[in-house]
Amino acid sequence: MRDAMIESLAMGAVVLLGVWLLLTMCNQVNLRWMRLVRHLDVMLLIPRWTFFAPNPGLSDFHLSVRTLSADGTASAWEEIDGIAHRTLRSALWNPEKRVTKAVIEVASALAPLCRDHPERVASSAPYRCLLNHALRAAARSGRAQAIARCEFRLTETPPRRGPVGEPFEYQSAPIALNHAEP
Amino acid sequence: MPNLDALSALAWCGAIAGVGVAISSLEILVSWRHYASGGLFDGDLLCRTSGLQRHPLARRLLGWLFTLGGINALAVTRLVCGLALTIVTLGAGWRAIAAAVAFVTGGLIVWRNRYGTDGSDQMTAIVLAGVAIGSCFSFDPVTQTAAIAFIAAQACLAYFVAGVAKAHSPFWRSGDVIGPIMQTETWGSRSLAAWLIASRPRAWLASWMVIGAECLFPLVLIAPPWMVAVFIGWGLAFHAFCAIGMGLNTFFWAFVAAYPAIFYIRSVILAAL
Repeated sequence: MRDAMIESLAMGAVVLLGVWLLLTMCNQVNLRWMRLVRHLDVMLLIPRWTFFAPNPGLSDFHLSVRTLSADGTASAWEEIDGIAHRTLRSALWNPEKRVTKAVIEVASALAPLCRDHPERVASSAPYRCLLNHALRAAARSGRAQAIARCEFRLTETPPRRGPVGEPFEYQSAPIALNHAEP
Repeated sequence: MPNLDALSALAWCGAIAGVGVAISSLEILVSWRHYASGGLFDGDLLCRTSGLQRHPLARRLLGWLFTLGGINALAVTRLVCGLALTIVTLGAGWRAIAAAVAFVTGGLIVWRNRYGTDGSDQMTAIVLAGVAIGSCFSFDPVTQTAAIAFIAAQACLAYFVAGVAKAHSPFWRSGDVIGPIMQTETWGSRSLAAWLIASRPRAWLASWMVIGAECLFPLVLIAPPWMVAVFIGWGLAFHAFCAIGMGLNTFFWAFVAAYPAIFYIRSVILAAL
């Protein structure tokens, strides 16, 4: 009885790995039903292995924030979570790469929304993520000043060579520092 | 060629992946301010935008993941598992547990963070799943071989798909890609960019070396020893280049962790032929 159960478990494990591999293979091509699988794959276990292809990212993204005082005077733009300067040590130890990648992903999620559904931007997860982050950064930078609002900006630095498209730029409306996130 | 048995192959896969798991866990722990209130991975906001709000039971069960204590607990657990996996002589049972826990905690971190995940997290998850299942059923040669084959097949698929996708791209075929990638602040290195852009034949050759090696990589499973040495040598050099030149440090450990599985499956295939 116990042996039969262990055998079934082993068989189940092999089937599971087989299905996982099959789904990974299907995910390499554009199959419509894979959208549902990707939607359910919250742990991102089904990879798409097209690293830097066919169109690699050749741009940098910068997130900046500035504060506005009560009389409307704006501070200079200040970059937050800027792209960290890498050294040889980064080959072994690079904790900042996750933040840099996150800013790229947020920008990639925000760009089509800004283009196709600007009315949905303010309620979207990437916008709220940036808003929350910018508000805290502005509050920190302006603690000693009498500031009332802030703005944040996400800009794309286009490639110096290679294919050049319209660089993405998003600037938020002025937001009160005591803005309550829904 | 290293002559590995199934258990040794799993042990080495786990040990190499374990180094990457330990590094990425430590990287999360030292970056705690990004996970705290107002950080880019602020758990409070991620929880509110995760859809968990609509499911009270799920929120009660998983809500702790979104606290700073929760992410730190996950990272510490994963760090311990990663360090345990680096012990090649670890018993199969303990290796299965360490790999399974590292797999689950890694998946939870990916789900929680939503942004900032890369291919190394995915390859690490694949290796950990294979190691966990292969070690758990170490008494069953079929399941063990299937688990190792899964790791090897995913690695070969990854290289092959990456190569084919590049071969389809006119930018990659023209050789005008690696230089501009290297010019970015995010992925690049000024000195390497200047070196590549200075010579068009050099940039073209670099581009086609990547395309060719990635497309042909699956041949490693049946190729003669000298060719296997070339592919594995290229893989090590390529991932070392990505780590040094692009800062993709954990990719090295994630992909190299699959190489012992490739060696083992190659020996199984050749024995069967």
